[in-house]
Amino acid sequence: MDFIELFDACVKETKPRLDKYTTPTSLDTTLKEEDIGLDSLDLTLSLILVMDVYGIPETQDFNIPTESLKAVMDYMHENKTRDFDSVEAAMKEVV
Amino acid sequence: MIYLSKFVLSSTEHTTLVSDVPFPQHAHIIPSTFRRAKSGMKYPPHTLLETVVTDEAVNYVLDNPVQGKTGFIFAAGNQGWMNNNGRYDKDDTAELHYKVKIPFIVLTNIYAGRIASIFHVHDHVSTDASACASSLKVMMDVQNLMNNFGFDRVIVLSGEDSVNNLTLEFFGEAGASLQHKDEGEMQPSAFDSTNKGFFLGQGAVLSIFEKEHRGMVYPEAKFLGAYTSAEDNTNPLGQRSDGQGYSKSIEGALHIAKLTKDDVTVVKTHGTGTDVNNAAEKTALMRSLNTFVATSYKQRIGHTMGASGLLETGLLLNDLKRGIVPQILNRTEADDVFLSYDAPAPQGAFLSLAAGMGNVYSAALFSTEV
Repeated sequence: MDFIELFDACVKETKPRLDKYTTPTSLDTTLKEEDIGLDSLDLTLSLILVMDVYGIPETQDFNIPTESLKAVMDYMHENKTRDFDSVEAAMKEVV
Repeated sequence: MIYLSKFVLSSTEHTTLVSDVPFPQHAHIIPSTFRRAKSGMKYPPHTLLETVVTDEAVNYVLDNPVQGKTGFIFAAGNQGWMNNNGRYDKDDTAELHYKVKIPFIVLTNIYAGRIASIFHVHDHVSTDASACASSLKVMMDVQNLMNNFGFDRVIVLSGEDSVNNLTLEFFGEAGASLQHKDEGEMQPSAFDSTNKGFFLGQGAVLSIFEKEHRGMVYPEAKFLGAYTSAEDNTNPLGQRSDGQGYSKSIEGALHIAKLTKDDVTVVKTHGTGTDVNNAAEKTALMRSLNTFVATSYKQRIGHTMGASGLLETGLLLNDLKRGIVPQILNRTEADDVFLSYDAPAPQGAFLSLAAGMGNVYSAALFSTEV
Protein backbone atom coordinates (compact mmCIF):
# COMPACT_ATOMS: atom_id res chain seq x y z
CA MET A 1 0.00 0.00 0.00
CA ASP A 2 1.39 3.35 -1.03
CA PHE A 3 1.85 5.45 2.15
CA ILE A 4 1.53 8.86 0.48
CA GLU A 5 -1.72 7.75 -1.09
CA LEU A 6 -2.97 6.49 2.27
CA PHE A 7 -2.03 9.70 4.08
CA ASP A 8 -3.76 11.73 1.38
CA ALA A 9 -6.93 9.64 1.71
CA CYS A 10 -6.92 10.14 5.49
CA VAL A 11 -6.55 13.91 5.15
CA LYS A 12 -9.42 14.01 2.68
CA GLU A 13 -11.55 12.02 5.09
CA THR A 14 -10.95 14.29 8.07
CA LYS A 15 -10.48 17.84 6.77
CA PRO A 16 -13.72 19.73 5.99
CA ARG A 17 -12.24 21.79 3.14
CA LEU A 18 -9.07 21.17 1.21
CA ASP A 19 -8.30 24.56 -0.33
CA LYS A 20 -5.20 25.13 1.82
CA TYR A 21 -3.99 21.51 1.63
CA THR A 22 -1.16 20.55 -0.71
CA THR A 23 -1.14 16.88 -1.62
CA PRO A 24 2.31 15.50 -0.74
CA THR A 25 4.37 14.18 -3.62
CA SER A 26 7.28 12.73 -1.69
CA LEU A 27 8.05 11.09 1.62
CA ASP A 28 10.44 13.97 2.31
CA THR A 29 7.50 16.38 2.58
CA THR A 30 7.48 18.04 5.98
CA LEU A 31 4.26 18.28 7.98
CA LYS A 32 4.68 21.97 8.79
CA GLU A 33 1.52 23.97 8.20
CA GLU A 34 3.27 26.28 5.74
CA ASP A 35 4.43 23.29 3.65
CA ILE A 36 1.38 21.04 3.60
CA GLY A 37 -1.50 23.31 4.69
CA LEU A 38 -2.64 21.20 7.63
CA ASP A 39 -3.11 22.85 11.02
CA SER A 40 -2.40 20.96 14.24
CA LEU A 41 -5.98 19.71 14.50
CA ASP A 42 -6.06 18.52 10.88
CA LEU A 43 -2.81 16.69 11.43
CA THR A 44 -3.95 15.04 14.68
CA LEU A 45 -7.19 13.83 13.13
CA SER A 46 -5.41 12.53 10.03
CA LEU A 47 -2.78 10.68 12.05
CA ILE A 48 -5.42 9.09 14.28
CA LEU A 49 -7.08 7.73 11.16
CA VAL A 50 -3.75 6.42 9.82
CA MET A 51 -3.20 4.71 13.19
CA ASP A 52 -6.64 3.13 12.96
CA VAL A 53 -5.82 1.79 9.52
CA TYR A 54 -2.68 0.10 10.84
CA GLY A 55 -4.46 -1.16 13.98
CA ILE A 56 -2.19 0.77 16.33
CA PRO A 57 -3.80 1.17 19.75
CA GLU A 58 -4.04 4.71 21.02
CA THR A 59 -1.79 5.59 23.90
CA GLN A 60 -1.81 8.52 26.26
CA ASP A 61 1.43 9.86 24.79
CA PHE A 62 0.56 10.77 21.24
CA ASN A 63 4.19 11.07 20.20
CA ILE A 64 4.24 10.27 16.53
CA PRO A 65 7.30 11.85 14.91
CA THR A 66 6.15 14.47 12.42
CA GLU A 67 9.36 15.89 10.94
CA SER A 68 8.45 14.35 7.61
CA LEU A 69 6.01 11.98 6.02
CA LYS A 70 8.76 9.35 6.01
CA ALA A 71 9.11 9.61 9.79
CA VAL A 72 5.37 9.07 10.15
CA MET A 73 5.50 6.10 7.79
CA ASP A 74 8.39 4.51 9.70
CA TYR A 75 6.50 4.91 12.99
CA MET A 76 3.38 3.31 11.54
CA HIS A 77 5.29 0.43 9.98
CA GLU A 78 7.18 -0.26 13.21
CA ASN A 79 4.00 -0.32 15.32
CA LYS A 80 1.39 -1.74 12.96
CA THR A 81 -0.70 -4.76 13.90
CA ARG A 82 -2.27 -5.13 10.46
CA ASP A 83 -1.80 -4.03 6.87
CA PHE A 84 -3.76 -3.83 3.64
CA ASP A 85 -3.01 -4.41 -0.03
CA SER A 86 -4.62 -1.17 -1.15
CA VAL A 87 -5.72 2.18 0.21
CA GLU A 88 -9.24 1.42 -0.95
CA ALA A 89 -9.33 -1.78 1.14
CA ALA A 90 -7.88 0.04 4.14
CA MET A 91 -10.41 2.87 4.06
CA LYS A 92 -13.28 0.41 3.71
CA GLU A 93 -12.11 -1.39 6.85
CA VAL A 94 -12.21 1.69 9.08
CA VAL A 95 -15.93 1.90 9.84
CA MET B 1 -30.76 47.50 8.13
CA ILE B 2 -29.69 43.90 8.58
CA TYR B 3 -30.51 41.35 5.90
CA LEU B 4 -30.58 37.59 5.91
CA SER B 5 -28.78 37.25 2.61
CA LYS B 6 -28.31 33.50 2.44
CA PHE B 7 -29.20 30.32 4.25
CA VAL B 8 -28.43 26.64 3.70
CA LEU B 9 -30.62 24.04 5.40
CA SER B 10 -30.30 20.35 6.12
CA SER B 11 -33.05 18.20 7.62
CA THR B 12 -35.19 15.23 6.66
CA GLU B 13 -38.89 14.45 6.71
CA HIS B 14 -38.10 10.74 6.65
CA THR B 15 -38.35 8.90 9.98
CA THR B 16 -36.56 5.77 11.18
CA LEU B 17 -37.68 3.59 14.07
CA VAL B 18 -34.92 3.29 16.66
CA SER B 19 -35.91 0.14 18.53
CA ASP B 20 -32.77 -0.82 20.45
CA VAL B 21 -33.14 1.95 23.05
CA PRO B 22 -35.10 1.88 26.33
CA PHE B 23 -37.91 4.02 24.87
CA PRO B 24 -38.26 2.89 21.23
CA GLN B 25 -39.32 5.80 19.03
CA HIS B 26 -39.10 7.19 15.53
CA ALA B 27 -36.54 9.88 14.76
CA HIS B 28 -35.70 11.97 11.70
CA ILE B 29 -32.25 10.53 10.98
CA ILE B 30 -29.88 11.23 8.10
CA PRO B 31 -28.07 7.85 7.91
CA SER B 32 -25.01 9.14 6.04
CA THR B 33 -24.08 11.28 9.06
CA PHE B 34 -23.39 8.13 11.09
CA ARG B 35 -20.71 6.94 8.66
CA ARG B 36 -17.47 6.13 10.51
CA ALA B 37 -19.10 7.10 13.79
CA LYS B 38 -18.70 3.75 15.53
CA SER B 39 -14.92 3.98 15.21
CA GLY B 40 -15.00 7.54 16.55
CA MET B 41 -13.39 8.91 13.40
CA LYS B 42 -16.45 10.95 12.52
CA TYR B 43 -18.83 12.75 14.85
CA PRO B 44 -22.33 12.74 13.32
CA PRO B 45 -23.14 16.40 14.11
CA HIS B 46 -19.88 17.50 12.43
CA THR B 47 -20.68 15.46 9.32
CA LEU B 48 -24.11 17.08 9.19
CA LEU B 49 -22.90 20.62 9.93
CA GLU B 50 -20.29 20.40 7.19
CA THR B 51 -23.00 19.67 4.60
CA VAL B 52 -24.37 23.20 5.07
CA VAL B 53 -20.93 24.81 4.80
CA THR B 54 -21.23 24.65 1.03
CA ASP B 55 -18.66 25.83 -1.51
CA GLU B 56 -21.24 28.30 -2.77
CA ALA B 57 -21.69 29.89 0.68
CA VAL B 58 -17.96 29.97 1.39
CA ASN B 59 -17.13 31.44 -2.00
CA TYR B 60 -19.84 34.07 -1.60
CA VAL B 61 -18.24 35.26 1.65
CA LEU B 62 -14.67 35.10 0.34
CA ASP B 63 -15.46 36.76 -2.99
CA ASN B 64 -17.53 39.57 -1.46
CA PRO B 65 -15.62 41.09 1.44
CA VAL B 66 -17.42 43.69 3.55
CA GLN B 67 -15.92 46.93 4.84
CA GLY B 68 -16.71 46.39 8.51
CA LYS B 69 -15.98 43.42 10.70
CA THR B 70 -17.17 39.84 10.17
CA GLY B 71 -18.21 37.53 12.98
CA PHE B 72 -18.95 33.83 13.27
CA ILE B 73 -21.32 32.37 15.85
CA PHE B 74 -21.82 28.66 16.39
CA ALA B 75 -25.25 28.10 17.95
CA ALA B 76 -24.63 24.65 19.34
CA GLY B 77 -27.61 24.06 21.58
CA ASN B 78 -27.07 21.98 24.66
CA GLN B 79 -23.46 21.05 23.99
CA GLY B 80 -23.41 18.29 26.61
CA TRP B 81 -25.37 15.71 24.62
CA MET B 82 -23.04 12.84 23.86
CA ASN B 83 -24.36 9.34 23.80
CA ASN B 84 -21.53 7.74 25.73
CA ASN B 85 -22.80 9.45 28.87
CA GLY B 86 -26.20 7.73 28.70
CA ARG B 87 -27.23 5.58 31.63
CA TYR B 88 -28.47 2.83 29.33
CA ASP B 89 -26.07 3.11 26.41
CA LYS B 90 -23.66 0.32 27.18
CA ASP B 91 -24.05 -1.71 24.00
CA ASP B 92 -21.58 -0.73 21.30
CA THR B 93 -23.54 -2.68 18.70
CA ALA B 94 -26.64 -0.50 19.25
CA GLU B 95 -27.73 1.23 16.07
CA LEU B 96 -26.85 4.77 17.11
CA HIS B 97 -23.97 4.04 19.46
CA TYR B 98 -20.81 5.87 18.55
CA LYS B 99 -17.48 6.86 19.96
CA VAL B 100 -15.82 10.26 19.99
CA LYS B 101 -12.05 10.09 19.59
CA ILE B 102 -11.40 13.80 19.97
CA PRO B 103 -13.94 14.93 22.56
CA PHE B 104 -12.54 18.43 22.92
CA ILE B 105 -13.73 19.46 19.49
CA VAL B 106 -17.28 18.11 19.52
CA LEU B 107 -19.54 21.17 19.78
CA THR B 108 -17.04 23.53 21.30
CA ASN B 109 -15.54 26.85 20.35
CA ILE B 110 -12.57 24.92 18.96
CA TYR B 111 -14.93 23.48 16.36
CA ALA B 112 -16.41 26.94 15.82
CA GLY B 113 -12.91 28.26 15.16
CA ARG B 114 -12.23 25.42 12.73
CA ILE B 115 -15.28 26.31 10.63
CA ALA B 116 -14.82 30.08 11.05
CA SER B 117 -11.32 29.76 9.57
CA ILE B 118 -12.84 28.36 6.38
CA PHE B 119 -14.65 31.71 6.01
CA HIS B 120 -11.45 33.60 6.98
CA VAL B 121 -13.26 35.15 9.95
CA HIS B 122 -10.83 37.00 12.21
CA ASP B 123 -12.97 39.52 14.09
CA HIS B 124 -15.22 37.46 16.35
CA VAL B 125 -15.76 33.73 16.93
CA SER B 126 -18.12 32.54 19.66
CA THR B 127 -20.33 29.63 20.64
CA ASP B 128 -23.77 29.54 22.24
CA ALA B 129 -25.26 26.82 24.44
CA SER B 130 -28.79 28.10 25.04
CA ALA B 131 -30.37 24.67 24.54
CA CYS B 132 -33.20 24.48 22.00
CA ALA B 133 -33.43 28.27 21.76
CA SER B 134 -29.80 28.57 20.70
CA SER B 135 -30.09 29.58 17.05
CA LEU B 136 -32.74 32.22 17.77
CA LYS B 137 -31.07 33.35 20.98
CA VAL B 138 -27.94 34.27 19.00
CA MET B 139 -30.02 36.64 16.88
CA MET B 140 -29.78 39.02 19.83
CA ASP B 141 -25.98 38.71 19.52
CA VAL B 142 -26.11 39.26 15.75
CA GLN B 143 -28.15 42.40 16.34
CA ASN B 144 -25.76 43.61 19.02
CA LEU B 145 -22.59 43.03 16.97
CA MET B 146 -24.05 44.64 13.88
CA ASN B 147 -25.76 47.61 15.51
CA ASN B 148 -23.20 48.44 18.20
CA PHE B 149 -19.79 47.03 17.32
CA GLY B 150 -19.07 47.75 13.69
CA PHE B 151 -19.84 44.35 12.22
CA ASP B 152 -21.14 44.27 8.65
CA ARG B 153 -21.53 40.50 8.41
CA VAL B 154 -22.24 37.73 10.92
CA ILE B 155 -22.31 34.08 9.89
CA VAL B 156 -24.38 31.80 12.11
CA LEU B 157 -23.91 28.05 12.00
CA SER B 158 -26.29 25.98 14.05
CA GLY B 159 -26.76 22.32 14.89
CA GLU B 160 -26.40 20.01 17.81
CA ASP B 161 -26.19 16.36 18.73
CA SER B 162 -29.95 16.04 18.68
CA VAL B 163 -30.41 12.35 17.86
CA ASN B 164 -28.37 9.87 19.86
CA ASN B 165 -29.06 7.23 22.47
CA LEU B 166 -28.88 9.78 25.28
CA THR B 167 -31.35 12.27 23.78
CA LEU B 168 -33.75 9.47 22.82
CA GLU B 169 -33.49 8.15 26.37
CA PHE B 170 -33.91 11.56 27.99
CA PHE B 171 -36.82 12.84 25.91
CA GLY B 172 -38.47 9.41 25.84
CA GLU B 173 -38.28 9.03 29.60
CA ALA B 174 -39.60 12.58 30.09
CA GLY B 175 -42.60 11.79 27.86
CA ALA B 176 -41.75 14.69 25.55
CA SER B 177 -40.84 12.75 22.42
CA LEU B 178 -43.55 10.42 21.17
CA GLN B 179 -42.81 6.78 21.91
CA HIS B 180 -43.47 4.01 19.40
CA LYS B 181 -45.90 2.29 21.76
CA ASP B 182 -48.14 5.40 21.72
CA GLU B 183 -48.15 5.96 17.97
CA GLY B 184 -51.37 4.00 17.42
CA GLU B 185 -53.38 6.54 19.33
CA MET B 186 -51.33 9.67 18.71
CA GLN B 187 -49.27 11.41 16.02
CA PRO B 188 -46.94 14.40 16.41
CA SER B 189 -48.84 17.68 16.33
CA ALA B 190 -49.10 20.94 18.23
CA PHE B 191 -51.91 22.99 19.77
CA ASP B 192 -54.22 20.00 19.34
CA SER B 193 -56.31 18.21 21.95
CA THR B 194 -55.67 14.72 20.53
CA ASN B 195 -52.29 14.62 18.76
CA LYS B 196 -49.24 15.74 20.69
CA GLY B 197 -45.48 15.61 21.02
CA PHE B 198 -42.65 15.28 18.55
CA PHE B 199 -39.97 13.01 17.20
CA LEU B 200 -36.36 14.09 17.51
CA GLY B 201 -34.62 15.11 14.30
CA GLN B 202 -31.18 15.88 12.94
CA GLY B 203 -30.81 19.29 11.37
CA ALA B 204 -28.33 22.04 10.62
CA VAL B 205 -28.49 25.54 9.20
CA LEU B 206 -25.99 28.10 7.97
CA SER B 207 -27.24 31.69 7.83
CA ILE B 208 -25.44 34.80 6.63
CA PHE B 209 -26.58 38.15 8.00
CA GLU B 210 -25.25 41.32 6.38
CA LYS B 211 -25.62 45.03 6.09
CA GLU B 212 -26.13 46.15 2.52
CA HIS B 213 -22.94 46.08 0.43
CA ARG B 214 -22.04 46.23 -3.23
CA GLY B 215 -21.70 42.48 -3.77
CA MET B 216 -24.71 41.45 -1.72
CA VAL B 217 -27.07 38.96 -3.29
CA TYR B 218 -30.78 39.72 -3.40
CA PRO B 219 -31.61 38.98 0.24
CA GLU B 220 -33.98 36.37 1.55
CA ALA B 221 -35.42 38.59 4.29
CA LYS B 222 -34.94 41.64 6.46
CA PHE B 223 -34.02 40.92 10.05
CA LEU B 224 -36.01 43.39 12.12
CA GLY B 225 -35.13 42.61 15.71
CA ALA B 226 -34.77 39.92 18.34
CA TYR B 227 -35.00 39.48 22.07
CA THR B 228 -34.40 36.66 24.52
CA SER B 229 -35.96 36.44 27.96
CA ALA B 230 -36.32 34.19 30.96
CA GLU B 231 -39.49 33.91 33.04
CA ASP B 232 -40.30 33.84 36.74
CA ASN B 233 -40.00 30.10 37.24
CA THR B 234 -37.89 28.11 39.66
CA ASN B 235 -38.10 24.86 37.64
CA PRO B 236 -35.42 24.90 34.93
CA LEU B 237 -37.24 22.08 33.09
CA GLY B 238 -40.66 23.69 33.29
CA GLN B 239 -42.65 26.36 31.50
CA ARG B 240 -45.23 28.69 33.01
CA SER B 241 -48.67 27.96 31.57
CA ASP B 242 -49.36 31.70 31.25
CA GLY B 243 -46.51 31.98 28.73
CA GLN B 244 -44.70 34.74 30.56
CA GLY B 245 -41.33 33.88 29.00
CA TYR B 246 -42.70 33.81 25.47
CA SER B 247 -44.60 37.08 26.03
CA LYS B 248 -41.55 38.85 27.37
CA SER B 249 -39.48 37.72 24.38
CA ILE B 250 -42.18 38.72 21.85
CA GLU B 251 -42.71 42.12 23.42
CA GLY B 252 -38.97 42.69 23.64
CA ALA B 253 -38.50 41.87 19.96
CA LEU B 254 -41.42 44.14 18.96
CA HIS B 255 -39.86 46.97 20.95
CA ILE B 256 -36.43 46.53 19.34
CA ALA B 257 -37.96 46.27 15.86
CA LYS B 258 -40.21 49.30 16.53
CA LEU B 259 -43.26 47.28 15.50
CA THR B 260 -46.67 46.93 17.11
CA LYS B 261 -48.64 43.77 17.79
CA ASP B 262 -50.71 44.54 14.67
CA ASP B 263 -47.68 44.35 12.37
CA VAL B 264 -47.04 40.61 12.87
CA THR B 265 -49.20 38.40 10.70
CA VAL B 266 -47.39 35.06 10.65
CA VAL B 267 -45.83 33.08 13.49
CA LYS B 268 -43.44 30.17 13.28
CA THR B 269 -44.08 28.67 16.66
CA HIS B 270 -41.68 26.59 18.73
CA GLY B 271 -44.53 24.10 18.50
CA THR B 272 -43.21 21.03 20.27
CA GLY B 273 -46.78 19.91 20.94
CA THR B 274 -46.21 19.01 24.56
CA ASP B 275 -49.05 19.96 26.89
CA VAL B 276 -46.96 22.53 28.73
CA ASN B 277 -45.63 24.19 25.58
CA ASN B 278 -49.07 24.20 23.93
CA ALA B 279 -50.48 26.11 26.90
CA ALA B 280 -47.56 28.50 27.35
CA GLU B 281 -47.00 29.42 23.70
CA LYS B 282 -50.68 29.72 22.75
CA THR B 283 -51.53 31.87 25.78
CA ALA B 284 -48.59 34.17 25.11
CA LEU B 285 -49.39 34.57 21.41
CA MET B 286 -53.06 35.32 22.03
CA ARG B 287 -52.05 37.97 24.57
CA SER B 288 -49.09 39.53 22.76
CA LEU B 289 -50.35 39.67 19.14
CA ASN B 290 -53.60 40.55 17.40
CA THR B 291 -54.46 38.92 14.06
CA PHE B 292 -52.08 36.21 12.88
CA VAL B 293 -51.76 32.69 11.55
CA ALA B 294 -49.36 30.23 13.18
CA THR B 295 -47.57 27.15 11.96
CA SER B 296 -45.04 24.62 13.24
CA TYR B 297 -42.39 22.54 11.46
CA LYS B 298 -41.46 20.00 14.12
CA GLN B 299 -44.11 17.60 12.86
CA ARG B 300 -42.34 17.57 9.47
CA ILE B 301 -38.64 17.42 10.37
CA GLY B 302 -38.67 16.54 14.05
CA HIS B 303 -37.24 18.59 16.87
CA THR B 304 -33.77 19.58 15.73
CA MET B 305 -33.19 21.26 19.07
CA GLY B 306 -30.59 24.06 18.95
CA ALA B 307 -30.86 24.39 15.19
CA SER B 308 -34.65 24.49 15.18
CA GLY B 309 -35.20 28.25 15.46
CA LEU B 310 -33.28 29.34 12.37
CA LEU B 311 -33.73 26.09 10.46
CA GLU B 312 -37.52 26.34 10.73
CA THR B 313 -37.31 30.06 9.90
CA GLY B 314 -35.60 29.04 6.65
CA LEU B 315 -38.32 26.48 5.93
CA LEU B 316 -40.98 29.15 6.53
CA LEU B 317 -39.17 31.53 4.17
CA ASN B 318 -39.24 28.85 1.48
CA ASP B 319 -42.98 28.36 2.05
CA LEU B 320 -43.69 32.10 2.05
CA LYS B 321 -41.96 32.30 -1.33
CA ARG B 322 -44.49 29.73 -2.54
CA GLY B 323 -47.21 31.99 -1.12
CA ILE B 324 -48.37 29.77 1.71
CA VAL B 325 -48.21 29.35 5.44
CA PRO B 326 -48.37 25.58 5.86
CA GLN B 327 -50.72 23.76 8.17
CA ILE B 328 -49.58 22.16 11.38
CA LEU B 329 -49.61 18.48 10.51
CA ASN B 330 -51.94 16.04 12.21
CA ARG B 331 -54.36 18.61 13.59
CA THR B 332 -57.68 16.92 14.41
CA GLU B 333 -59.66 20.15 14.88
CA ALA B 334 -60.44 22.89 12.35
CA ASP B 335 -58.37 25.92 13.29
CA ASP B 336 -57.91 29.23 11.45
CA VAL B 337 -55.12 30.49 13.73
CA PHE B 338 -52.97 27.50 14.69
CA LEU B 339 -53.45 26.30 11.18
CA SER B 340 -55.20 23.06 10.33
CA TYR B 341 -54.92 23.87 6.61
CA ASP B 342 -52.47 25.61 4.26
CA ALA B 343 -53.32 29.32 4.29
CA PRO B 344 -52.30 32.01 1.80
CA ALA B 345 -49.34 34.04 3.06
CA PRO B 346 -50.50 37.46 4.30
CA GLN B 347 -48.50 40.68 4.01
CA GLY B 348 -46.62 41.76 7.11
CA ALA B 349 -43.81 40.78 9.42
CA PHE B 350 -43.29 37.28 10.68
CA LEU B 351 -42.21 36.10 14.09
CA SER B 352 -40.05 33.09 14.89
CA LEU B 353 -40.17 31.65 18.39
CA ALA B 354 -38.02 29.16 20.25
CA ALA B 355 -37.74 27.98 23.83
CA GLY B 356 -35.08 26.02 25.63
CA MET B 357 -34.67 24.07 28.80
CA GLY B 358 -33.09 26.12 31.53
CA ASN B 359 -35.60 28.97 31.15
CA VAL B 360 -34.80 30.63 27.83
CA TYR B 361 -37.32 32.10 25.38
CA SER B 362 -36.34 33.74 22.11
CA ALA B 363 -38.23 35.75 19.54
CA ALA B 364 -36.98 37.13 16.23
CA LEU B 365 -38.84 39.26 13.72
CA PHE B 366 -38.30 39.23 9.96
CA SER B 367 -39.92 40.59 6.83
CA THR B 368 -39.85 39.20 3.31
CA GLU B 369 -40.42 42.72 1.96
CA VAL B 370 -36.82 43.53 1.07
